[in-house]
Amino acid sequence: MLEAIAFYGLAALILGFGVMVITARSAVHSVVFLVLNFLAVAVVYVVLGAEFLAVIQVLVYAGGIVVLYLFVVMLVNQKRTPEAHHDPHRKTGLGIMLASAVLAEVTAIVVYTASAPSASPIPVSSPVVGGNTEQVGWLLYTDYLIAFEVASMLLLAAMVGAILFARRMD
Amino acid sequence: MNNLPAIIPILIVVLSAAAAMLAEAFRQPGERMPIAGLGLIGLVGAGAASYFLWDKDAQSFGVVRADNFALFINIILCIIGVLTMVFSNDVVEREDIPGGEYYALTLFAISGMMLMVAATDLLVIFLALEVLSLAVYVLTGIRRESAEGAEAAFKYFLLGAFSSAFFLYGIAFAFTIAGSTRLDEVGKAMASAPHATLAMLAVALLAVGFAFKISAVPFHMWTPDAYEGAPTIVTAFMSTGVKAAAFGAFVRVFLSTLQPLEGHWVPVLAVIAGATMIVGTVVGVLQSNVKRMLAYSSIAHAGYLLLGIVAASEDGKAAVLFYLLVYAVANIGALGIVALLGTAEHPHDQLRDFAGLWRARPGLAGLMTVFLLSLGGFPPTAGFIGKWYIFAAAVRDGYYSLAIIGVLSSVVSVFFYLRIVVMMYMTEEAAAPARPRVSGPAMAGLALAMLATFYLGVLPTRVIEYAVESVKAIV
Amino acid sequence: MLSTIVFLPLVGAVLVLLLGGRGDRAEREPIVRYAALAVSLVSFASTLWLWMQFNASTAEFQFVEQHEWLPQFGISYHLGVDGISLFLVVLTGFLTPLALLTSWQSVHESVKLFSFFMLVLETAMLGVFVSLDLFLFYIFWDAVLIPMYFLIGIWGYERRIYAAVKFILYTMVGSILMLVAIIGLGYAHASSTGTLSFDLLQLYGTALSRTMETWFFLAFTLAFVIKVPLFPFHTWLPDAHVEAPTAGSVILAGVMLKMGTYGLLRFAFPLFPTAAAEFAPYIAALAVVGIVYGALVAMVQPDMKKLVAYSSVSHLGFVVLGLCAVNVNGVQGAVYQMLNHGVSTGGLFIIVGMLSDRRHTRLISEYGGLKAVMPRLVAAFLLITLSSIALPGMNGFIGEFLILLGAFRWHPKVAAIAATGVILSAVYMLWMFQRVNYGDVTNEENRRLPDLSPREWAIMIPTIATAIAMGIFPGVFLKPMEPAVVRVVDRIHGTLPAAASTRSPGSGLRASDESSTLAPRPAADSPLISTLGSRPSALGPRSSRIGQR
Repeated sequence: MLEAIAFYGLAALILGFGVMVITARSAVHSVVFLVLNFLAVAVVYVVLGAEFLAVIQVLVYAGGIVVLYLFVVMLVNQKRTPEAHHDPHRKTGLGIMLASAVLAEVTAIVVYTASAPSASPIPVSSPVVGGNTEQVGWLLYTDYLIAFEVASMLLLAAMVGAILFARRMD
Repeated sequence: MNNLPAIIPILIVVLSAAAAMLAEAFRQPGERMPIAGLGLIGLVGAGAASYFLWDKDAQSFGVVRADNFALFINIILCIIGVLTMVFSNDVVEREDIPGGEYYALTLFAISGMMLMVAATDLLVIFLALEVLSLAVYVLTGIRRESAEGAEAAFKYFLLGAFSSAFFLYGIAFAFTIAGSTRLDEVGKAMASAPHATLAMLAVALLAVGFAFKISAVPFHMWTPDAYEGAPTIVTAFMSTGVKAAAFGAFVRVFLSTLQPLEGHWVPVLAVIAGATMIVGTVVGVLQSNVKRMLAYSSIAHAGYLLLGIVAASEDGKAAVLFYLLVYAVANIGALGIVALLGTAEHPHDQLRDFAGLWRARPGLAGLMTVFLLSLGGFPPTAGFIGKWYIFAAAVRDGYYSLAIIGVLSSVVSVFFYLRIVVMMYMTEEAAAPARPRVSGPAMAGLALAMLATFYLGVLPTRVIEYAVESVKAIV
Repeated sequence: MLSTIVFLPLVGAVLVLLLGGRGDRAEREPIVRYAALAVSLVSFASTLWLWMQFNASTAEFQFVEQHEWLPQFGISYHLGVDGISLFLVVLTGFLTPLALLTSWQSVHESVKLFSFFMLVLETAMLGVFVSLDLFLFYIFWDAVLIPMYFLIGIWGYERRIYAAVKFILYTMVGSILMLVAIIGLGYAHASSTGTLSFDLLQLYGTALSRTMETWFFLAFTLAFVIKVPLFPFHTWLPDAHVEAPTAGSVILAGVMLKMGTYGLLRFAFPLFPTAAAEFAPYIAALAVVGIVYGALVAMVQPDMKKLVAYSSVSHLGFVVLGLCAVNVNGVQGAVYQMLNHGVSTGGLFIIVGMLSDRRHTRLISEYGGLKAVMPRLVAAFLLITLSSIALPGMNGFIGEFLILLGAFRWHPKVAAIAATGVILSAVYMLWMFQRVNYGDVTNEENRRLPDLSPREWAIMIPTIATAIAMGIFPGVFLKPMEPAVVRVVDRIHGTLPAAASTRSPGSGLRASDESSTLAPRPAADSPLISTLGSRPSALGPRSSRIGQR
């Protein structure tokens, strides 16, 4: 029951932040909403019991990629200063209420997960597999080896493409 | 090392892609390196490896299976790749396309295509699809100076990303039902719970994902723009290779794994097939840009192939494979000629560019005629046998109305193929555009394609036997 | 042997292409022309040889070649001639050299390509007439379209592209529906007998449901009647004929239109006898409308070629009428008329071509009083005209008489209306002839026109000789045809001796009442033939029927 609330709430957040990414006026705002989106996805992973994925999500996506985006956006946007803009539709009160609700929810989840009796679905002392990380690693190098390698091929192709498009035309 | 043989063809192609990149890295600016030759060797090697793997049913980690079906399509892909390499050799230098990266990306795309048809796991299919899609998106926009190219690449990328998302969602639902992404597990699960909503959703979303890639109506909107904006040689590669891979995976997933749900998806696909054939031909008639015209023609051909899938019998599957080969050879030939005649300033893709080609370049005009006749389905070219095979499968399963739509749209399509022929032979040119020389290897490639077209048109027995045999592997 | 005959022109075509060298070198032209002519003459000689070797007393297919081709589809490479197709093959062999000869004056562009297409066309046409496998037949049928399309589109007159595209699309729509019917028939046969086959002889007598049979029959017939052309599917013909170069018109009218009537006789009617019986009256009605309409429209044409084109519609209406009667007289007359029309209309187009080579116009008003200027050409013109209007003593008379006889036995009123077509054809032809050739020389340009050149003599003499010979010695042609015609008629009626027919002999066409009372394998009407002085038939007389009535 609690899980359902958590999931739907987080899903709403993810979708909401996603929409904000596309509709935000400033590129920097876009990227920041993207970070929040990724963080919400990480929380979903935690709820599902995939802590390894959650950590990787935060580290790689929110930490690495989005920060890279931010750098680029800020460097590119250098010349344009953010415009002072008064929004007649802004409702400060509503915003504060929603933000508090989100905060309360996140706190509740964190507290719940921390205080729950070791309800991790993966037995820690298993003769074959260890924790989340070990299990994922095991799968990646046995059953999903091909998928893993293909993913690396995908990254290589993407890199080549990105460099092609980004380099100076001469 | 029993896991390795199945992926050897793919490995060879990936290695040649890496070699192409390395060669480019060590190339001095202005130095001419036969990187296309590298690609050629790799593809020939992969083709040979596929040939040696025939009937061995090698498996790799349970997710890749080099069964006869995959090997047959591998060989089709190698043929497509070889022809693309041979034509690209001429084009890349002329049009200022960054050579090494172009070949590397093409080879990556081919490896993705090969993997896609050999994969027996939905996740691997998806990854392979992404590899080939990404490479093709980049190839579409590889000519940086061209605004149409950038627009085409962007449109393709955006819509392609959407469709990949749908596809992934479908995989997620399939996983939910089956607990695994392996095709055989999914098949078993589908068979035991065929009416569950999740199953329907999975099938629908997977179908959407595939339908986009094969440009079936109504997911075809990206095709004309993407094909028109991309460099012609990339269009030739895209229209044949991506279709071959997508149809291969389509057949494997839908006709073996999702077979139990036949009653549900066959009617929908039948409607889509009919609509695709009609839209492809009717709208194609209105075009004056040859590349756009051939894009719509490839939509129509996707319709015929879908008809083969709808006629979900043994015959239907083998017909799809045979038709893929026939269509690939003819389409690459036709678009290859357009590519070879074009330069960066003058892409030679308008209808009136072809005026009087018979007088200026009789050989090319003759070859173009043969390829267009094959696309139109005239005997004694391969296109006729391909169409016969597909329509026979449809009639045998009782899809008379679809067969009639198919043949009538075939006649309409003849109209726009003939327009090009008329231009070549029967119209005087006002001012002949400067047409570049076509190199020896390219002519040889075209000649081979023509010979294949006639061979498959007169003595197709051997190849059809192979096709039938290879289909038995995925029953 | 048949394969050699069929593919010889194709080999010659490639030879011509090679001999022509690169591009369109003018000095190579004569070599190309003579080579093409030589190939076509050799091909004609081989068809004559076929005729000599043909056994005229049997209805079986001869010179049969059968090989496996696509066993997974049940398709075999099956060729054979019988009395009906034999003469069509000879006609093809006869007209091709003539067509090539007529083009020597008028075609100067890309002679190599022109000859190539003419020879490829010859192979395709020969293949159509001797194929005994439906798939093979369809391949040759479609293969005819491409060279003809090029011939009209490249070497034609002003509106050639429009005419060529109309020709190909119109014909293709019909034939593509026939393709679906062929496939359907093959699979219907497979589901009832267990073996998939597209072999004609095996497909005869396939058990089909009424609806299936009707649809298949209609699909086949549509393809064929577009080709014939039968009113109202004839609208492609005038354009195609007018815009085609002379050689193209000769082949188009002389041979290609016969492919339609041949298809009706060989495929549509015998494969689907019940449906044929049902629709024959309607098809005959359209044929008669075509006869009269074609004649009336021909009368008002200012352009000679268009006039001859409409006359084709009219004459081939007779042929279709004869076929619809489905009795020996009618069908034999129809087949004979196919040959006649080839010779006489081919000859007419040749003459018109000669005139247009000289004056570059086809309008009747531009000519007048040519008899004084070119007496020999006019004499040839006269003889061909008389052949076309079926003057007794010429070939057309035999054909039309037999057809009218057969039609009269079937549906007297229909025959009566059709007979008016004979009168109308005389009207428009003779009136055209008079306006062009008699009277004063109204146009000064006509005064200096040259008479027949040696090359033109070489074309006209065989044509006229054949027309006269076919008129005086029809038995030479009718006798080998007889057994095959009788067999086809029996097959359509379902009265084949020891035939695996599931229908009772009395059902179907009305004329079957007569044939069912006869002994098996009856002969043609010998009294009719003997009155014309040819060899009487060796088989038993069928004339007893005439006495009975």
